[in-house]
Formats: sequence, structure tokens, C-alpha cells
Amino acid sequence: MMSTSFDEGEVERIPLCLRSEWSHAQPLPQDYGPNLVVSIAYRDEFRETMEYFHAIYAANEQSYPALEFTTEAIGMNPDNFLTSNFNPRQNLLFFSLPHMSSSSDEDEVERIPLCSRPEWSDVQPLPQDDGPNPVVSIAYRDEFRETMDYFRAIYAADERSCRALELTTEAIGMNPGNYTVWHFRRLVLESLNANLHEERDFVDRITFQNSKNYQIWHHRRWLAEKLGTEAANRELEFTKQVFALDAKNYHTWSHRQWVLESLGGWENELEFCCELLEDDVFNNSAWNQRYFVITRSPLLGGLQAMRDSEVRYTSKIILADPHNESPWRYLRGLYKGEIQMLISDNKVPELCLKVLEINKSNLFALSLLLDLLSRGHQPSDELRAIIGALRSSQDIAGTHGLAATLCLVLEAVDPMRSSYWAWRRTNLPTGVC
Amino acid sequence: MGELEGKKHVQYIVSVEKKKDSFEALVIEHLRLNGAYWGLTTLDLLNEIEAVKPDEIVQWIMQCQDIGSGGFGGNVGHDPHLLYTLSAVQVLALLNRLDVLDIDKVSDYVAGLQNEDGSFSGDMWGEVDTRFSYIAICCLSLLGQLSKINVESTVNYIVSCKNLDGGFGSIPGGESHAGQIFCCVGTLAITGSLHHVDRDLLGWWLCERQCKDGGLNGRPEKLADVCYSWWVLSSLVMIDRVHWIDKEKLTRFILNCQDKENGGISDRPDNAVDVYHTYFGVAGLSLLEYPGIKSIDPAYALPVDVVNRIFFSK
Repeated sequence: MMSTSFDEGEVERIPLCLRSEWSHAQPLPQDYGPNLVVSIAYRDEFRETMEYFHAIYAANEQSYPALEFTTEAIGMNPDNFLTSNFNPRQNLLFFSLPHMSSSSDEDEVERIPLCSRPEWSDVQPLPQDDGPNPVVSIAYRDEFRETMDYFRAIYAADERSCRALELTTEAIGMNPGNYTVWHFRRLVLESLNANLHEERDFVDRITFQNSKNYQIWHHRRWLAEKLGTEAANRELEFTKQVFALDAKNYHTWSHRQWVLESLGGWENELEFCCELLEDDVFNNSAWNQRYFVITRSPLLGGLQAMRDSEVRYTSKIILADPHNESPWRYLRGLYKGEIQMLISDNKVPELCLKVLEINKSNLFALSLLLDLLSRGHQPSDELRAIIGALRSSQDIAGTHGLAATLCLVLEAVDPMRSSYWAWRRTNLPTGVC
Repeated sequence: MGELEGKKHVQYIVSVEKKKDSFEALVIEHLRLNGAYWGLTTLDLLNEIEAVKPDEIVQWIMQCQDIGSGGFGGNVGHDPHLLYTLSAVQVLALLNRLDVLDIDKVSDYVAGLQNEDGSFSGDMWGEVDTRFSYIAICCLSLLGQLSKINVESTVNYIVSCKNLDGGFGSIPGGESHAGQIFCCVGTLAITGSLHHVDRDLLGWWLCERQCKDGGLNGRPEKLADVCYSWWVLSSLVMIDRVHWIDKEKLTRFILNCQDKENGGISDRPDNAVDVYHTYFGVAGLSLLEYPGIKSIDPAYALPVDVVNRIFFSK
């Protein structure tokens, strides 16, 4: 269930009630009170996780198991790129968090209903109009319903006041995916000529709880544009903090790239990529960023200038773990537009052969060798010998060229993609070894 | 292999709005139009579009239109955005009610969101993403109004988002991601520009998304998720490389993501279901030619008979 960067399938989750390190804890079920407006269907695992969380939070247990536990609780939010504002589980987690105040700086303040607040007494809240025959009838939790009713009133009246701003804060806190609320908030901020540094502080806090929400990142960008180049460092620093929680967050990477191109700050970017890859060499986003930096940074000289050092860097990493898909693609990308260089540079086939010494049927090495041969690379004796050995070990009968043999080997060691390898074999250019 | 629980999924979709205790309804209020598209397209693919009353839906959709701009919001009273405008057009196409639209007005809204560099913004606030290029092209194509935009610069912008691995990101330099790839390939397919795609290179990247459990992920070293059964698969179909994945294993993965008791499909086996993943699971099975499911068009993401009705019955 944890979306960490395993290169195999996920590790099977052991229920908390069976884990010895949690035997001392008595899980606390969520207390919805006597008049349950909303009964929530939690998946059992998620429910259990949150019940344990309630217990450790109530006991204020600050231990290493508790820390690891929060990692697991956070990890139960599967990375769901395109449904960030939809995934009910993510929002369940979010709805739970304010009650636990796990990451907010202020104390949990009991919410006073809007209808009881004197400063709102003049407003007639507007209920959602679903029409006489609602296609979809909606059950709202009372608080949420009330907040949105008041929001609709303010929105319809186009009231751009301080209390309107505070109301959007509350509405966003309850459902940060509601883009209309964000839109209106921007209008209010502009009309009030509000302090954008304070706004950024607010967005910082919200982002950590909703790092896969399109609206929040877009709002961040809007803010950064207004604040100008002085915002660059702060934005880069902020994205770094988000990466500490989720180093592959697509929104965060897009934002960081936008900051670099629009506001600058390239000086330490390559070093940053190195750090991230040291943390997790399987992080494809970091590899992508590395390519972004070496090709676009105004401070580095471009792909041509960087190629040799990057080939050395990447080769070392490949040898350390040849099962990692990303550096292989990166290596290939370093020779973009330079096929002649690729097939005549001995470094690349030598690397593949070294990998095959450690790992006889490494897909990526075999595939890259196939690519080289397909493009006219003249094989060394050593390469011929290795392919000969592979042919024997896979019991491949008949006479085939080197490239065709590689295709047959790949069909055998990567059966899931056997159609692809079979196709490669029938589409080898003529005259290929 | 398990079976597709078609009837259960229909029941699930039809009942989802009736669930009084559903957080799902609570949090998706602002994107209900997307939800309508996912739910109704699934019903149509399962040959059960009769389960809903079209007039009420059409009435509600038109209430979602912003009179000033011509664009559609996610629900009544919400601001217009490209995302919901496409869903509105797609649902009306499904229900064969495109006649209710002021085509010029909607098209002008979409066309007005094109930027100098050929990209599209999602709404007046200016967020740019190749998702919006796809949405604009798909929408205008269904309405027969591609002439309102600069198609050449649209294509050029997409090409500028092509990466070294043959894939596409959300912006130039953005990491290749299956969702973005679908949007870019879809845009190129609809505009007759697929020659810009290196089909073999991209085809290989896409078929590498298949994990040991048979499911598809969206980028290297990530977990499989049912929604990629659509994003990856439709892309493969559009570039004619779908035979490069193991279809049987993928079918099994999707079927294992069903809730066989209550209906619906989730992102991975044994997780909570939602309408979004139900749609993508069924759409993926359609592309895999699972029996009993209508064929879906990989570029327009609508049943083929709906697309044919629009383009061939003039």
C-alpha cells in the first residue's frame, strides 16, 4: 500500500493488531458523536491505521514506532496523479487531520457555526440548488454544508471583504479541490490588496496536507508571479521540503521547473539532483530533472559540454544497480541526435558487457546492445563471445545474426513483452550483424 | 479468470448519488460534471445508458454553463473551466443532445484560451498544461470547430513537450507521464499529426509500464494503477503498438480491482472503489476487447458509435 520506490511489487501490509511493536496500544475508533450525520466507509486497513493514530495522538506518544507509523499513515494515500482533487481516500485523510492537528501550528479551536457568529448575522446563506429533480442528491456534513451555503451567498453578492477572505480560508480547509473558491479568493486578495507574503504562508501550510492538488499549486504560481524574482529562492526551498515527503510529486516538479525558467535560481540545481539521487537512485523525476538542468541551465554549457562527465556519472550508477530503469534511459538520452557518436563510442558497449558479467540477463543491457547493433555498431570480439554464451544458455537453435540472437534472448527473459522483442527481430535493418 | 461484474457496476454508478453517507459526494461537488462523464460513459459502454433519464441531465448540464463566457463549470454556480466544458460536450454527445448547445459560444470560449505559443490555459487564471491542449482539441473537434484555433501552433507546442524517451510531459521539460502522454498523443491523433511521434520508442516506453502483477504504472518505478489501463492503453492503440503488452495479464489485473459485491472498480486490488476508476477500468477492458463491452474510441474517449454518429451522419 505504501507508494515508495520499490522496484518490485509492494510489500504485503501486516495488520497493526498483529504487530508486536503495537501490542501495547489500544486503538481509538473515530468518535462521530451520537447523531451520526455521516457514516464513513473506511477500508479496513485505513480504518485501523487511523484508529491507532488516534490512540497515539491522544497519548502524545513521541516514539520511533510512532514516527514510522505516521509514515505508514501518510503512505496510505496512494499516489493518484490525476484525481488529486477527487480521491475520496485522500480527502478522508485530510478531513481526519484537522481533528488531529498533526501538522498545523496552532491549537485545534472548536468551530463556531457561522449562524452563531455575530459578524455573519447579516448574511442569508444560499443553499446549493440542485434543481427540482436533482440528478445527484448530496449529503453534506453539517459544517461543510453551512460553510458552502455562506460561500455561495458571498460569491453571488461578489463581496470582496475580509470576512469573505476568511470564509474562503475555511472553505478551502474543508475542501481544497473546489476551484471556484480559489478563484474567488484571488479576486478578494486583489481587491483587498492583501499581504501576499501572509498568503504564501497560508498556502505553504495547506500544500503539505494536499500536495497533489492542482488548485493549490496553481495558486502558488500565481502568487510567485506577483512576488517576482525575489520569490525564487523561497519557492525552490519550499519544493525541496515537499520533496522530503514525496520526492516524485509531479506537481512539485512542474512548479520547480517553472520557477527555474521564469524566476531563475539555477546555481545549485545539479547538486540538488545529485542529493535526491543519493537519497533514492530510482527516482525517475530526479533523473528527468537532471536532464532538464544539463540541457537548459544557462550556467552549464549544454548537453555537448556535459556529455562526458554525465556518461561517467551515469555509468557508475548503472554498475551499482543495473536493474534501475532510469539511468539507462538517461544514458541513452545523453546521445540524443548523435547516433554516430553512440555507436562508435566504446564506453557504452563496454558498460553493457560489464553489467552482463554481474547480471547475465539484464534487460536494459541487452536492449541497449540491441539498439547499438541495430544502428550499425561494429561488435567487438568480446561482445560476440558474450552473445554466443547467451545463445547457448538459452538453448537457442538455428543460425541467427548477433542482433537477432539478442532479440530471441530478450523474448525468453522478458516474456511479458515477447511481442515487442519478436517485432524487433523481424524489423532489424538489413546488413546488421 | 474472474468475470466482469457489469450489472454490479451499473448498480454502483446509479446508486452513488443516492448514498447519503458518502464522502465521495461531499468532496466531488465541484467536479460533478466530470463525474457525470465518467459514470454515463461507463453505463453506455456496458450498454445500460437507458438506466438514466437524459432530459434531467441535459437540463442540469445547461445550468452549469456560464452565460457570460460560454464555458461550463463543474456544477451549478461554479466558474467555467476547460475541464468541465469538455465533459459537458462529451456527455451531450453521449446523449445525442449536442443540438442544445450554442456551438459558436462554447467554441469561442475554448478558442479564447489558446496562448501565443500554441498552448492552452485551463481558464482565465492561466494554468498551462498539455492536458488542456488535448481538451481543447477534443472539444472543438467534436463540435466541428477546429478552424477557430491555430492548429499548427497547438501541434508545435505538443512537440516541444516531447522528451528523450519518446514520451511527453505537462510542459516542455516535464517528466514523461502516461497521463500527459495520452493527452499529447490524443492531440496529435485528432489533428492528424501522429508522424511527430516516434512510435517505436514511445511504444516501448509504454509497454515497459506493465508491472509483474500485470497492471500498468504511469512512470518508471511507480506502482500499477487501474487508471493507467486507459492512459497507457489508449496511447498504445493510437500509435498501433497495443500488441506489445500482455493483454491477458492486464485484463486479469483490472478484473481483480473490482468490488464484486458492491460494484465499482478501484485503483488496485482490495482498495476502495470510485467512479473515476470504474470508468477507466471498463474503458481499459473495452480497448482490450473484453466481450460485452462496446468499443471505445481511444482519442475521443467516447464509444465508437457515438463518435461515428457525430462525424459520419452529416
